Amino acid sequence: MPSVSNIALKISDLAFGYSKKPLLEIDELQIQKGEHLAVIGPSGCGKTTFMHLVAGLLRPQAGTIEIQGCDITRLKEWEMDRFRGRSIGVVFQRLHLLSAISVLNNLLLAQRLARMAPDKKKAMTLLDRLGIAGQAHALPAMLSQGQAQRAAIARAVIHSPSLVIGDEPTSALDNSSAADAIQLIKELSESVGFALLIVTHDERVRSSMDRVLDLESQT
Amino acid sequence: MNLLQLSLSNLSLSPLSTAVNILLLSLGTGSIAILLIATHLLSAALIRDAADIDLVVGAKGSPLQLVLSGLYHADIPTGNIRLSEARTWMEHPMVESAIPLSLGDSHKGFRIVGTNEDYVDIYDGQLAEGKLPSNLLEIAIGSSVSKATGLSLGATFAGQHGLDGAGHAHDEDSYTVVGIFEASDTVLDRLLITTLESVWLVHGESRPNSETYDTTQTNRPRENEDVHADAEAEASEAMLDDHHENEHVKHQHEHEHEDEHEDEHEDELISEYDGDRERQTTAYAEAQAITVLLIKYATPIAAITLPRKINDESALQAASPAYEITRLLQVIGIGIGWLQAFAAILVASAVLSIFAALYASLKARRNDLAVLRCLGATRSELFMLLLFEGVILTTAGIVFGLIAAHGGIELAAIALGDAQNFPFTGFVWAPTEFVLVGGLLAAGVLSSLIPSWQAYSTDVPRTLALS
Repeated sequence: MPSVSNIALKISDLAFGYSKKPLLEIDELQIQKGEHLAVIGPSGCGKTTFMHLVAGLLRPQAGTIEIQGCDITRLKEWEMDRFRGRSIGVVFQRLHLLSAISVLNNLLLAQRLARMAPDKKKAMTLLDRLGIAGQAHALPAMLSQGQAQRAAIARAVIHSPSLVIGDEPTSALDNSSAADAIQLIKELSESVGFALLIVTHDERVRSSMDRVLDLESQT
Repeated sequence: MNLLQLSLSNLSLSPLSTAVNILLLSLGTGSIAILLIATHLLSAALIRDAADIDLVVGAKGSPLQLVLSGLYHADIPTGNIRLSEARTWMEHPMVESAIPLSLGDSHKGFRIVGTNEDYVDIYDGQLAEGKLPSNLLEIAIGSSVSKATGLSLGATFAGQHGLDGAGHAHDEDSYTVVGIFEASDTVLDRLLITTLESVWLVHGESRPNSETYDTTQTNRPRENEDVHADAEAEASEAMLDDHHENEHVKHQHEHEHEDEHEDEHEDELISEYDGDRERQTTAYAEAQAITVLLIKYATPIAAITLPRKINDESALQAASPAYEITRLLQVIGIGIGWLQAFAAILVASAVLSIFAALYASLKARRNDLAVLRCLGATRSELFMLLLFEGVILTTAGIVFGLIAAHGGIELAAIALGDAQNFPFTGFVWAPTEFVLVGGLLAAGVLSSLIPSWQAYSTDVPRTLALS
């Protein structure tokens, strides 16, 4: 039995649906700090919805979602926004770096929205670790797909969250880049200590995770 | 990096659209600001130069022309009037003070005004150099005149007939500059002040004894002076003869002065001579023409009765500066109103353009807004992000518009120099500009409200799902 302080995510009796019939039901799920979970299932089974529920972007019809011991279903919307900024990192399928500002500023803005003092040195160190320090002042449009993915990963972890959620983060990458990206996230997870929850169709990703949650079997 | 910087970065992503929006708003703002500043400067100059004068009396004609020419020196005078005729009103019990002006000549476009020290006093005129004119053909010049013409103390020049500098020069009677006024920011800066007698001398054929004539005696309103109008014309015609007789008496007096044994007789002659001189001088002055009389009322009731009395009971015309200027500003105001309406359309177009730009930008950045929410931004912060963009565009438009307006006016003022009837400067802030700035900011905020609200309402899961 893991101690409560080691639980990064705990879901209990979760139910969500857009109609009376629940789209998603999860009785119990726990992810430890530093644990890597792949969420799989066929299209339409609710993978992205599950991710949005965990990120606090959707409210469940029933059940609780605790992140670092905080039941996010009880938070007001603005409290959830702030909690998300502080405790959750998100890597999107299509990267979604803010195009108007440089890579470095994407990271500094993430720190600001996490209500942290912008730490340029930390951001540069991270970018350097990811091999894109030379692109720190470039606009996202000037990056290659692989560089942009690394920048997106850097932004998701710059504020040292307790949980990082990835929504098909490798779907737009070739095999080599995808493997690199997953390896990178896992390394960061180990060094920073965040739990990793990745929604994926990708067998390569699935096989590299500690555990797999098949949503089809949950509904 | 904060939301304000992000707003700036977002605007810099589409520089052309941003520049066009700012330019549009600057044009509208600048146009309205120019009208406001010009109106403010004109009103201020009109009030300042009016110098609390209640009534302008002159020859029949347009009352507005009388006020513009007599008070602001910005029009051609309606004609001349006899000082003797004006005297009736100068000594009227309802009149506290009356200043006669004799106009008609100019020097390099600046008007020569024959008057007395009281005229300088109403503008608090202070001499920077020299003295006020007290003898014939002495003249003191305004600061703008000095700057524009280069005249200095001791310089001589001939006035030109007329006010446009195209008339013939009075070469036979040159003025000598004896004083230069400090800048007073009034009409005095653009005038050349001499005595009434000097103007009469330049224009008339008869003249009093120029060496002994005391100009300070005749041109002020006097009490207990019994001069009959009928005698004035004769006095004027007889001036030369009297003058010669006077000279004769003077010579006789000088001759007898040498005779130490006839002291008593000498005193009588001197007394007789002085009396003659005063009477002749007075009669001479009364027969001369002035152009306008600037009157201050002794009592508020005069405002109701005196102008009507003058207009009804004399061949003169009385015009109230307050009334005429109000009328003038109303006429100008109609034109300004149309221009302001046009400028307001420009501003409205600019505000709509800002709205369109923000709305289009919002559509293109829905994903960014959703991502920002995922990064921890609240709905309010997204609202502020779009609002900042609208306010930044509006503020930039206002700032550039005001700079263009004030800078343009200042450049125009520099280009036109000191010769304008109403000198102006860009370094002035019209109180109505506060209203303009406030109104524009409010319009900018309003134009941003709908896009801001849309940003506030961003449905993050749906947006991300559609991306």
